Amino acid sequence: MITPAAQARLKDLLGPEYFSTRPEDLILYASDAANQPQYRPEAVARPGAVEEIAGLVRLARTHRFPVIPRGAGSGLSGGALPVAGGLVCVMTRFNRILDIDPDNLTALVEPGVVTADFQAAVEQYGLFYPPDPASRDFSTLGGNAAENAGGTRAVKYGVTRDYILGLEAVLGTGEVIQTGVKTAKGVVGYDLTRLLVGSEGTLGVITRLILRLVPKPEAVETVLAYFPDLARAAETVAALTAARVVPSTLEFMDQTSINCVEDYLGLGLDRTAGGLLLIETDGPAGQAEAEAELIVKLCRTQGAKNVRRAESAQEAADMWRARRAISPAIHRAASGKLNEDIVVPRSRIPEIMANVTEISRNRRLQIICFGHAGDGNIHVNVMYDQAETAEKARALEAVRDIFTEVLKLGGTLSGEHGIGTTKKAFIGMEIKPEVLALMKRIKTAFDPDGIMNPGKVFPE
Amino acid sequence: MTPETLLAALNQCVRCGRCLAVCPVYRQTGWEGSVARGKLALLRAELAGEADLGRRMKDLLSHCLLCGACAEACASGVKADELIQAGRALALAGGGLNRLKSLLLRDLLARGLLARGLFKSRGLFLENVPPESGLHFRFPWPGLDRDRWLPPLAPKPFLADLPERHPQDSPGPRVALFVGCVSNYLRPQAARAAVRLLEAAGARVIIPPEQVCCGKPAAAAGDRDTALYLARKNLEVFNPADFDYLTAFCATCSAQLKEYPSFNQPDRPAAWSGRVLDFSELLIKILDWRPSARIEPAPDGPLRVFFHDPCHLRRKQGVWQEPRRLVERLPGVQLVGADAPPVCCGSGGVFNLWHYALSLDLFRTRIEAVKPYDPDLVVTSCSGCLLQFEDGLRRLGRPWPITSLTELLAERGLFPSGL
Repeated sequence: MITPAAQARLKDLLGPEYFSTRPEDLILYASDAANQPQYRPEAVARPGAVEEIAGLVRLARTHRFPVIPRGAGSGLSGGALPVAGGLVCVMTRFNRILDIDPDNLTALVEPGVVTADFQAAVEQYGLFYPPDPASRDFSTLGGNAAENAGGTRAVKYGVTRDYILGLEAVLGTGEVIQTGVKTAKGVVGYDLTRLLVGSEGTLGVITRLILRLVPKPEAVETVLAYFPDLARAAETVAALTAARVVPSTLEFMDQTSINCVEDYLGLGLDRTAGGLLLIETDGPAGQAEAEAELIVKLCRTQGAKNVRRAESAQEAADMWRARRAISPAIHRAASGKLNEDIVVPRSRIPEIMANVTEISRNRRLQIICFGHAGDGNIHVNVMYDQAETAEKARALEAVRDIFTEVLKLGGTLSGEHGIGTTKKAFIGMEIKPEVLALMKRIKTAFDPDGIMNPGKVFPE
Repeated sequence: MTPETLLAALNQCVRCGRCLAVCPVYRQTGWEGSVARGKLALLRAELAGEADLGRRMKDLLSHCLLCGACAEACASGVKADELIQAGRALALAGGGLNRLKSLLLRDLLARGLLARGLFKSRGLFLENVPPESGLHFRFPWPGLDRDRWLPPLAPKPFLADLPERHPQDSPGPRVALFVGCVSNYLRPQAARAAVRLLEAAGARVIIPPEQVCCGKPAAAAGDRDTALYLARKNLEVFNPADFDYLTAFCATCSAQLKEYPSFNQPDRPAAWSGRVLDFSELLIKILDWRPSARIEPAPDGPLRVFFHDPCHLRRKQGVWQEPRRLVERLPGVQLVGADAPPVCCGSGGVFNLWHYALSLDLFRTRIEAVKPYDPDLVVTSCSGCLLQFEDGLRRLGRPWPITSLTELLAERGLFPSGL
């Protein structure tokens, strides 16, 4: 509970413009991009300095109210939802790129910087920040870090965690700590950086990031391949790996996602295809070209009905517009969706796709699949009519079925969206009780009073 | 829009957040209430009875430029700018703009007694700013910054002082000209240039002098009744039998005129449908205007001109190639930054009155995006943008002059020069 006394202290700390209990702010910050019910916070803070965050965390400990860090509110697992009330801590004022160091291939940034803005800034130096979530035009680096966001380039370049050398954070204790290094390597003490990345705001608030950059590849080639059925598209992924081709992206879309996007954008995608693969290679010009040609050949051998190389930057851009529009566009298929991002070893993709088809039939629900086929990370969307409670119940059962199959295949429940609130109930399927208990003990060390983003990751 | 239809439309928003990427106000403030997703959430909560924001709703909905970037980016087909405008209308109906204010506004926009009286007595409340021409308010008016610069009022409104027309025997199309309030009162030279350009292209120009404001300022503020009143007057005054095309050279006016058929007035059939064109569309698609002037190349190179896209032209009407082509046709002129992505000037019409400081911050962002192209001159074709540039550029030390498209085309494209 944020008592009136606590409110007064918070208003002094942040200034009246940046602390609000106004009803409109409580509504504005009651939801994120996850398809979840709204949870109104008690108050909203928009701090502008680390000291303010340390101050509000200390107040939170004293007065026992939750603190929920938030960037752009673009998360898909409910990480920014104030499920237990409390204070939403909006980080958008921390929006400066503090330094780009082209000699050392590092950058120092504030967490509220929009990812695409950062990418554009480093590209001016011939550098490259690979993590590329579909939301990059509006999601923030801090949010990406807290969720260990992935994206389309993970197959070749890895995820957000692989590009964070060090960070600064305000812990649930109220302490401000620096972790990690500014250098290319370092192993001194425990790796607190990696613990905080992907901790979904449950251990502290990230206030600064030291990011690793790589040189920008000279050329990017884009290939679009249509397949008569999803199985052949899925097998092509395995074939590419077997041929030792490492594309920089390897995305797929099933027929329904193609049609939803075509309804929205009308770009001329083949609506009759069972599935498509969107593949990119990058590197020195000759190499990217050669790999692209190899990929075209492989796709044809695997039975693609149509394979095209993008002939212009505009054509490639259109293909990517389509891919990035899938998540919102599939809402045209149904009002409700349970959005899962399971991962299986990539050789098992054909099996999981077959399992999903069967579950869809058993549970009598449409399941739309698309995503990062190259690293086995499939966005499985169980669609249902929001007005039908019975359908929603079946959807949750379908999710459990899918998770069961994923774990049998040696997979994991979330590749990049995080657990948040949406997958709490299932985390025990993957993580053993004693390991969950260990994780909770670690949390207690960082957040003894349990104020940091309660109701996330761990089931009650 | 009824509350029920509005709520149904609001429920199409899936809260994905794509609007956050493109909303100029959100990019400036980082506050969820600035962006479509946030405002739609507030409207939804209010209409669904989950909130009681009451009079606050009007202020909350005012944080919108109606630039349409959100509608363009939305993958769920939500036209947030239209929904916000509809929300403003509902907020007004709940007791916002009172009866007297509404009547006064209507008089002003319909060029009634009050408008004419104010125009004649303008010296009482506006003062010249030497050494340049321009006006400031003498007294502080609520909500109007005294440092705001206004262009000088014309000695006579354009519609009270129509230029001589030269009716031609040539079977060129009959073009009715919609002038718009800013050109009428503040910048008649833009209208005179338009007339000269149309005649030079072989059109027969008709200018009904009883035309009134297009109604966009009222519609934007949520005063749907006044907007409809003005639309009805214009529909009477512009008789479809008298013209082949109706054109306006202010993008906000042309966009609003194109909306008239959707106002659903059963006793006023939408006879204009398909015949309203923005001025640049008309010149390119119908008249294929070519310059008649020949300008000797200047010793220090051509005049570098940057075209600023009005949101109401590029986004609302899909018109952006045509003005560029017109500028490119001018002798001695080089179009720069043609591929630059559009950036809202930050005026947002009524937004500029309600949130002046924020509007200027947005304008600064716009200017930063123009600087790399190093123009000699910026040109635009919207009155709102024009006023914003005139006021804003003065505050930023006047890096470049600003002019309207019709004036530029007339000055550089007509021989003898059209001004």
